[in-house]
Amino acid sequence: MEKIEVENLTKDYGFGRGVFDVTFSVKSGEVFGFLGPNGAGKSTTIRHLMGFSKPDTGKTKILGLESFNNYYKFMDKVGYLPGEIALPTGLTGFEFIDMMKKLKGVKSDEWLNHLIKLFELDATGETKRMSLGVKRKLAIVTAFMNDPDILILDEPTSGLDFEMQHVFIDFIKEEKQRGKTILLSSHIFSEVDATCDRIAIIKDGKIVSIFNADDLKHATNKIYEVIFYSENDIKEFLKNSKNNTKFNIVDIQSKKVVVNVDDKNINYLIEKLSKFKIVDFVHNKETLEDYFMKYYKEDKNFGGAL
Amino acid sequence: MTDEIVIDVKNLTKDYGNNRGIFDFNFQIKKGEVVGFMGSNGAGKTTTIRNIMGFLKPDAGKITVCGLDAWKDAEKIKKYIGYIPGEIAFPDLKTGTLFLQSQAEFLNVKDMSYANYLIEKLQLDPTANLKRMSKGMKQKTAVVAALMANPDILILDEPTTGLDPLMRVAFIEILEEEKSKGKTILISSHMYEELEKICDRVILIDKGKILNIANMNEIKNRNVVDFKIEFNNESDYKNFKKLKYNVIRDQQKYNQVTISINKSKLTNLFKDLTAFDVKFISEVKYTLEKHFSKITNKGGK
Amino acid sequence: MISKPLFKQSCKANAGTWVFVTAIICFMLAILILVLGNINVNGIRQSMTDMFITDAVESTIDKQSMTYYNLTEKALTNYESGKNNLTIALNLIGEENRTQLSMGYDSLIQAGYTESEAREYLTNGKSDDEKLLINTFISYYIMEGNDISENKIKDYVLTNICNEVYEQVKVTEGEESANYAKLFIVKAINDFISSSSDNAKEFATMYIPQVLKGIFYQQFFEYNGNTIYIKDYYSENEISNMSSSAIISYRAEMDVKEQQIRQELMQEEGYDSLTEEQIELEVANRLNKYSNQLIANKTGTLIEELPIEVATALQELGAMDIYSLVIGSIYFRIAGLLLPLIYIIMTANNLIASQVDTGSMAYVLSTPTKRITVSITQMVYLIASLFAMFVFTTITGLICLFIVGSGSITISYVDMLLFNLGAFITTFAISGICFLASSWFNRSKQSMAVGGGISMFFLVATILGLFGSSVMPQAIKIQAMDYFNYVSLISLYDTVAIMDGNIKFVWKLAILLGVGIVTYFISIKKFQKKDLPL
Repeated sequence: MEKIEVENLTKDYGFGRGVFDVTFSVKSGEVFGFLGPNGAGKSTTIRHLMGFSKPDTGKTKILGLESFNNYYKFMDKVGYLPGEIALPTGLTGFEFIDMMKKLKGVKSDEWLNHLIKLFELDATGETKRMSLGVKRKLAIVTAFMNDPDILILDEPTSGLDFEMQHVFIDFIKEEKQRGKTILLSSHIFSEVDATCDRIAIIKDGKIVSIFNADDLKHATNKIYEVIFYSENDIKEFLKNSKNNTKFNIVDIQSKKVVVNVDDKNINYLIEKLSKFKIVDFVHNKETLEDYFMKYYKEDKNFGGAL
Repeated sequence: MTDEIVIDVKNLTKDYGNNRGIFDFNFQIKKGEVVGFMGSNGAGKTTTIRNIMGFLKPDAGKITVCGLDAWKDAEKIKKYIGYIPGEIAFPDLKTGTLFLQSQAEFLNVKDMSYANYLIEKLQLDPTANLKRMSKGMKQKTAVVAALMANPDILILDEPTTGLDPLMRVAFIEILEEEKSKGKTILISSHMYEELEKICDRVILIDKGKILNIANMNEIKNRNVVDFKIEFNNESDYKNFKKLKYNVIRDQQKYNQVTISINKSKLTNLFKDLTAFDVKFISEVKYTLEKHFSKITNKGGK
Repeated sequence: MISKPLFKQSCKANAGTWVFVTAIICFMLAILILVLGNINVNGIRQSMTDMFITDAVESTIDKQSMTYYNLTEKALTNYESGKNNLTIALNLIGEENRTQLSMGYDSLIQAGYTESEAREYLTNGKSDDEKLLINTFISYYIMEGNDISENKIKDYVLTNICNEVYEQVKVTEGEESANYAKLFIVKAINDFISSSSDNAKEFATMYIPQVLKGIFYQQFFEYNGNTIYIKDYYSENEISNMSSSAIISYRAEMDVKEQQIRQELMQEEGYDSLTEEQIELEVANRLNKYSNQLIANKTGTLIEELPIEVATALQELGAMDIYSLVIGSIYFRIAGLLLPLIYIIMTANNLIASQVDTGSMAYVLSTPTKRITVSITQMVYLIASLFAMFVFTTITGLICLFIVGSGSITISYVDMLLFNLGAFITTFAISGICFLASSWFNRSKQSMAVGGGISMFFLVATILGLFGSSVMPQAIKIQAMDYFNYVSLISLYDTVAIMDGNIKFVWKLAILLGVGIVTYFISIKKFQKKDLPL
């Protein structure tokens, strides 16, 4: 039994919106990233995990319990950070913390105080007068005050300035060290990049890719741009490389060659290049954003989802 | 980029007490330049922009925009500026169309063809209810409003905050278009990646002071490059280290070194490497973030 | 089943509105009761009542005066002449003849003759005058025997006259009145004799007022459920005076009319051929008719003379109870419900729909709190806050009633208690509808539009329906508007029935209670099952 399971989840809101046959699971101690633009289906999936909505078909489970009917059984072990920051009205920050404490049945203040200090939260004053950043911190503190086993985060760093973003990212990493299971939904590449073990890309309600973050970061398949000193060198190099099976020429531009090579063959390439005068050697790393955009390049009509 | 200075900020100070505010800012923006403002919340980006726009009066110092005093001639400089504020709050009109029409009147725009072009390009539906728009749509509406008069100067205060990656890409592309038309752009952000892409220069602000002004050209086109090289066996690793390369990081357990090398020495590197069994070579990019963190010794990872 | 922290938060979030609304409705009620209790609101009602009463009493006195004067005067006159005539008649026959006649009559009767046969026998062969005398004696003899003392003659004449009066009155006024008239005439004639007046007319003129004043002064009658004592309105003298004036003007008119009739008769055809007796008879007839007409005309009450709608309208206006209208129907069913309804609309929305709309409900539901707990907690808050609101208004109402004193206000403490209970149950029902809208819809706009729309519709319908309802006097009432009462739930809150002590308000409130229970139940079920866009 994985901590978080989504099995063939389908919810159709009409007009092509919703989630369709989404399946993934998050293992214990894993940080799982859910990446996609607005309207892709991230929040919908989380909504089902939290028991807010009922699937058309398929199931979502946390700790093996099906969400819609059993949410109250596992909620004490879950920390949920919603994407929208809308706090209940009429309360001061402290009153809100107190209310959440009682609702969650948190007995000890130790972890709560640790979080307040960590995020430098000043909870005095009415929540409706607080700035976005402070509200976000309040939400974070209350989401995790019960030191939950499972963290479900919906765009957690939006609204935080980048110092606090770093604090939060460090916090996630620490929680991971402590063995927590984390589902992080976002469209901010930096936070997904920095924390996630596995990443799913969701587009138009369907998962189009699930991969290990490391595979991307340490992709063994690399692309290099090589700029030669002279045109003759390029011609020579291309002639030598013809019909080789170890690397591909992806692009040629006057003095520049773009090469695609697998790490296991790097020595072969080095050998071939060593014969020439190299002016520049650039490694085109595929970032998470690049990888992500591959799925969306047909879609790049500035529309996205409104 | 010409040499004509459009925005000149001299000794700008605005003190809010308790060490909050901006102190002794000095910088100039040339015509056609794209300049970024980088800094955390409260560092002073919005304050600076508001001073340039003539919303705030400097406590000390002087700002000129196109030769006019920003405070005294505030309404005159507006002719040249298209502004997108940090918080997009529209006036109480029903639809986007009404708002854009009202803006057109204010800006004395008679010809709506550019506005319509933008609306189409951004695939914005301006008939939508202003209050019910998502952040992305509001952003687009604000863009059309700012650009419809085809101003020479664009001032944007954290315009991509809250936008998803597709929107962000679209937005940056529009800015690149404007840049290619020769517009002068001042954009503030707290995302390095954005500024890196389009800015010519980036001003780093912290706690009301300018820490550094980075020239993106220099950063992008450094003649020094860092490579992480991992070897397949320990002896190769050790032997490579004996060579005179500048090792900036050494990871023994992975048989890995990171070297910093001048591009002129690349040929030599490759020649040397043929003698070794290399597992992989990967470049450690020099980013704006790295550049600034070197300067501030904090933030970024 | 109730989450204390959530309940607390609901209290904090909605306390401001609650305090505001409660303070204002208590204030309004207090002012209303205190002001109404201290001004003579029912002044108009009182003067209208007075007017009707005095008018009724006066016309009765007038009518009685004239009628009894008529009877008495005639009776007295007839008594005088009758007694004289009879005495002469009996003396003419002479004692010997009387004895003869009486013995002869007795033996005839014993022999089996009927009265008319005996008369026939005894008057056979006599002249008309003689016949008349004999018949007169026989009539007397049958009644009084042979003795022709003064008393007997008096009694005989008296009895005859009484029977005449009895017959006359029985036709027009019925048997009871006829008996009474008979007794009255006996008394009048006796008084006449003992007073030794010689002018029957003058005696009657003075006598009637004396009698009537004694009678009327003690009398009372029921008017609109109240006992009206005539002595509260008129002194004995006033009664006597009224009666006198009525009689005097009646006499005057009759005299004038008599002259007129005689003139007219003289003008008529065949006058010359009439005997004096016939003339007198005819005059007496016509005069009689005129007298009846006069009495009837003079004594028609004000009410009877107005067109029926106006009369009803005035009577209703007079009977209208301002207190039950203002406090019962206007305050408790309309003005005093408006603010609580606004509170309900806003609060019901705040408790569920608004939190789903903004997304803040996600915090509560991200804890081990069941949805049904949320529904029930919010429901309890809403109902309890309404209950508390009406506890305050009850206390305010009772205190103010006490201050004003229950004298002038027609609302009792029990009424006030029941009014508030009814208002609570009504708002309970409407709060159920609003809570249902809030639990059903995900957007504040929709929840408020439906819940608020329905609530306000009921209130406006009740306001319009007020104009067609039974509490509005006919003068203002527009019957067609009553239809509005059929489309408003608030109509089931029957304040009129409460004030009348009519038990039907209980089952009507029970229906409202049922509406509330059902809507709350559906709300809970719906919220449990639906998708939440959090």
